[in-house]
Amino acid sequence: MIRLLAVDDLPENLRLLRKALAETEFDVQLAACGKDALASAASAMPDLILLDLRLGEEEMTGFELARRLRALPGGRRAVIVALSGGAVLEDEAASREAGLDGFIAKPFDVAALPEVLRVYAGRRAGPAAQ
Amino acid sequence: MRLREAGAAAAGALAALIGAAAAVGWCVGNMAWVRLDPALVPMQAGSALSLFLLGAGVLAAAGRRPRSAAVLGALGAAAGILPLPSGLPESMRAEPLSAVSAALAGAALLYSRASSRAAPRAVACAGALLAGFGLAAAWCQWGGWNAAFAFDGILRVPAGAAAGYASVGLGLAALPAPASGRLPARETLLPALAGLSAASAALCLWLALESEREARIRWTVAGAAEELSERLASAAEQGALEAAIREGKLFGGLLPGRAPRGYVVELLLGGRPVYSSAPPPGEGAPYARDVAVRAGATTWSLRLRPSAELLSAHASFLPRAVLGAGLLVAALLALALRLALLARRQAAEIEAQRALAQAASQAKSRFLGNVSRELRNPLNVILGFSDLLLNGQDGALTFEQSEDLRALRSGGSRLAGIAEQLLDLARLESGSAALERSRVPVEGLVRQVFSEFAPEARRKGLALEREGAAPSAEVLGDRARLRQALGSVMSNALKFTREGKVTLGLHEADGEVVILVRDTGPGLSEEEKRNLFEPFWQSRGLGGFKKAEGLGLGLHLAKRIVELHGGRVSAVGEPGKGSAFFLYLPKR
Repeated sequence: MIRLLAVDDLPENLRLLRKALAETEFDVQLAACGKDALASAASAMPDLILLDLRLGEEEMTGFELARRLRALPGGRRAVIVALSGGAVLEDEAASREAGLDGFIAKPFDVAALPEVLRVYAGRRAGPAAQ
Repeated sequence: MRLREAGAAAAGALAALIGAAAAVGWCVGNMAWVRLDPALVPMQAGSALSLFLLGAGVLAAAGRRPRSAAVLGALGAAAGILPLPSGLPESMRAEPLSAVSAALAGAALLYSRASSRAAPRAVACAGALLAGFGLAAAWCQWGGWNAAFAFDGILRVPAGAAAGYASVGLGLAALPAPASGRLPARETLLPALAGLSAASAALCLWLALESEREARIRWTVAGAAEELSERLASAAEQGALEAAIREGKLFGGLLPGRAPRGYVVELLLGGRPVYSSAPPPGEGAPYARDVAVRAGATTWSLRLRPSAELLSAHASFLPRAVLGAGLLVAALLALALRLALLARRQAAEIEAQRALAQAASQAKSRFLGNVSRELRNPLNVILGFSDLLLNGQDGALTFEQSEDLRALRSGGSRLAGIAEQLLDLARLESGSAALERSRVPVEGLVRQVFSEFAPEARRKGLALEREGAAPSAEVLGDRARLRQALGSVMSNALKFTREGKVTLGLHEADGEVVILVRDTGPGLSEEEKRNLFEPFWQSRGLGGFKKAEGLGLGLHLAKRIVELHGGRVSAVGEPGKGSAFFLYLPKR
């Protein structure tokens, strides 16, 4: 069971992620905003976090959320992957600099998603991946 | 343009300062309590005033204040012309030529306000004429050539006035055509004040030097007079004085000693001159000293005045040199200050423009990022759910449902492709996509594209061939983008060719690398050759089939990419004889 937390402020995207990962080894938690994401991660730090970079400009940006997630207990072990609909090249470079572990551009291939995430989860190999 | 304005301003300032100095000197020289030799004043009062006004007028014209310039020009001309009648005293009367110069300069300043196209040239001509005349007259004066001219009386212009008018003339000639936009007052006032202060300092220094010289002369004369009076008094007590006077020879006879050198000696008895050693009073009269000589009951009055010889011994070029240098320094100071203020303002303007440009560029990037996100999120949802449903995630589908979903998915894919291309184009055109600048080996690039498209060619039953080589050629640019461009052309060739072969060629030429894609497809019509690389243009399709896939942007993107690398594209082909696309790239 790989614990996965998906954060996106568009409910359709969250629904898509949940359905795409249904009947896989991923245990999917959803969060619709940064606050919910932090609360969920504080109670139980997931192994893999999928993070939309455009999380509402009123609250924190995706990068800021990533930083705060890392600051939580166990945060350093989590694999944080960015999901982006923005200008691809710049976001990719920026997420690398912000210390995120991976980058997936939207629109992504729904069928291939579980495999891609498995590879990312394996990057922080350890008992958590089992 | 700026330099001309500044030069005109400096010349105008110089003329104004010369005029002001002369005017002050004239006033001072005619006041009773400071007895300066009027010969020091280099020009008549009227000329001085008119020069000051005309100089200020040129300054105003250079400072883009045409109305002030016109008014000052009119006043200056008036000041130069009015003292013309000969009934006035010498020091106030205007020379004819000075009056003409003043009139010319005033008229030019008035005309400079006119907005006709000939005006600047006319003003410049008048200025050049004036400058030439002034310089020639000044040169003649200092060279002492005036006497050689037959028209001596009319052509005579005091040297100072000539220099002043020459300055005004130069200023007028340098005036650029009137430009719009007034300059900030501070930029003209500060330099003017600085120049005036420096000029005042120079004037004071000049006055001090001259007064010192005057005082020295008077002191010398006083000393000589005292000494002589003592000698005469002792001679008078012995009775030798009357005898000497009767004989008409004061020194070298009955009186011991010699005549004091460089002086003119006069003896008066009861106000009547009884002896004089030289012609009637002329030069040096202002410095004459009267001393009483008493002997017994008679009292003579001794008058001693310095001769021209003595005066010229005390003459010094220094005060005038100091004044001239001081005025020049003042003008240069004003000029430098003006240029510095101007430079500072220009730097501020440039900085403001740069900040504006940067803000605009940032806004553009932000906008593109937003548009991109707004397009991609919904696309993600459309494609993702279509795929989920098609994969049976929500249960088995009927055949109809399945077909409907395929149609949905197909529309979504097409939309996604179009959105990608549009975003790409927008990024390229707005400059938000930074092109890499690295060394790209062309041979490797072509090989990569060749192997990428081999499977598709195989699938379509087309032969894919290589031609030519450029083993060491390199291009400076973005490898990914170049691959994209070449890929577009290849994809286009494979799409339109139904049978035969596609050839990917690479050649080297003079400073260029040529990549070509040749196919045995339907060829190109004239219309197609014209519009092929235009955005959104789609071929109607030759050979009877219609292919409306894509947005028509692929080839346009390829062209833009190649052009951004400093190259060009072209396409040749005849209908029915296949086509060939060329990409020319400059070699590194």
